[in-house]
Amino acid sequence: MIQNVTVAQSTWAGLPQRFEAGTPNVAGAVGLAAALEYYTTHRKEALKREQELTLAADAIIRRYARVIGPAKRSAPIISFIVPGAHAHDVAQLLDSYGVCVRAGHHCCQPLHDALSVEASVRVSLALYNTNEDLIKLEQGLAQVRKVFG
Amino acid sequence: MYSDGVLEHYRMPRGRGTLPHPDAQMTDTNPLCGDSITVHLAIENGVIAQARHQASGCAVSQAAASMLFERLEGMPIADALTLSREGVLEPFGQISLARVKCALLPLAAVKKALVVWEARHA
Repeated sequence: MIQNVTVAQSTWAGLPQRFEAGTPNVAGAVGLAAALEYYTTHRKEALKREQELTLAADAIIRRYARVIGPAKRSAPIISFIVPGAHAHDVAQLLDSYGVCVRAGHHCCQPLHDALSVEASVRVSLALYNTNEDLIKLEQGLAQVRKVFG
Repeated sequence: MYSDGVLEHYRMPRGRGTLPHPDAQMTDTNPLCGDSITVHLAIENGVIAQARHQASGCAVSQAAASMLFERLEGMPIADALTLSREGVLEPFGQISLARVKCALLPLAAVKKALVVWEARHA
C-alpha cells in the first residue's frame, strides 16, 4: 500500500497496490480456482443436476408459497413469500429442519416496495444438494403452513 | 420459540391501535428485517394511562408487542424505563440470537418514547 511512512506524512504505492492492504485473500483465490476447475471438469453433470434441483425445488415451493420471479428459471435460486407468515418466521422454522435460507429484503428494498412485499425468503441450491435436502425443505414448509395457517 | 402462548399473542395482539392525542410516541424499526412498530402513550401523573401500538413484521416482534402492551397501562414511567430484557425474552424460551432484536423492538420503542417525553417535561 505504501511507499514511505513517517510520523509526519506518508506516500503511497502506485495503482492498484495503493488500495491493497495486508495479505491478499490467497486461500480464497486458491479455493476459487479449485472450485472453477471442478465445475469445468464436471460441467455437463453439474448443469443437469442444477436443472433437476431447479424444477424440483420450484414444484415444492409452489405448493406452499408464492414464488417471485420468472416462471422458467435457469438456476436453483428461488425467492418466495408464504402467505400469512413473515419471512423471518419461515426462516426460523426451516432452520429447525436443518434448512438454511436467507430472509429479508435481500439488499433490494426498492424491488420489494415495487412488489408491495415486506420481506421474502430465498432458497439457494447447488449441485451438491441432495434429494434429502429437498424433502427437509418440504417438511419445513409444511410445518410453516401448520403453525401459521 | 413459537409456543402456543406466543402464537396466541401474535394472532390476537393486545393493545393494537392508535391514540388521537398521544403524549408520547415513537416509531422504531429493525432495518435488517423490516420489523417496525409505532407506539402511542397517554401519560397522566407520571403513569402510562393508555398505551397502543401498531406493529408490523415477524411473529416474534408482534407477539412481544402484545405481551408488553398487555401490562403497560397503569405502569409508572420509572418502572417502564427499567423493564428488563430478560422479562421480555423469557416467554420465548430458547430464542435464537438473530431474533432477540425482534423481541426487544417494542420495549426499545416504548423506552425511547418515554425518554423523549421526559426530556420535554424535565
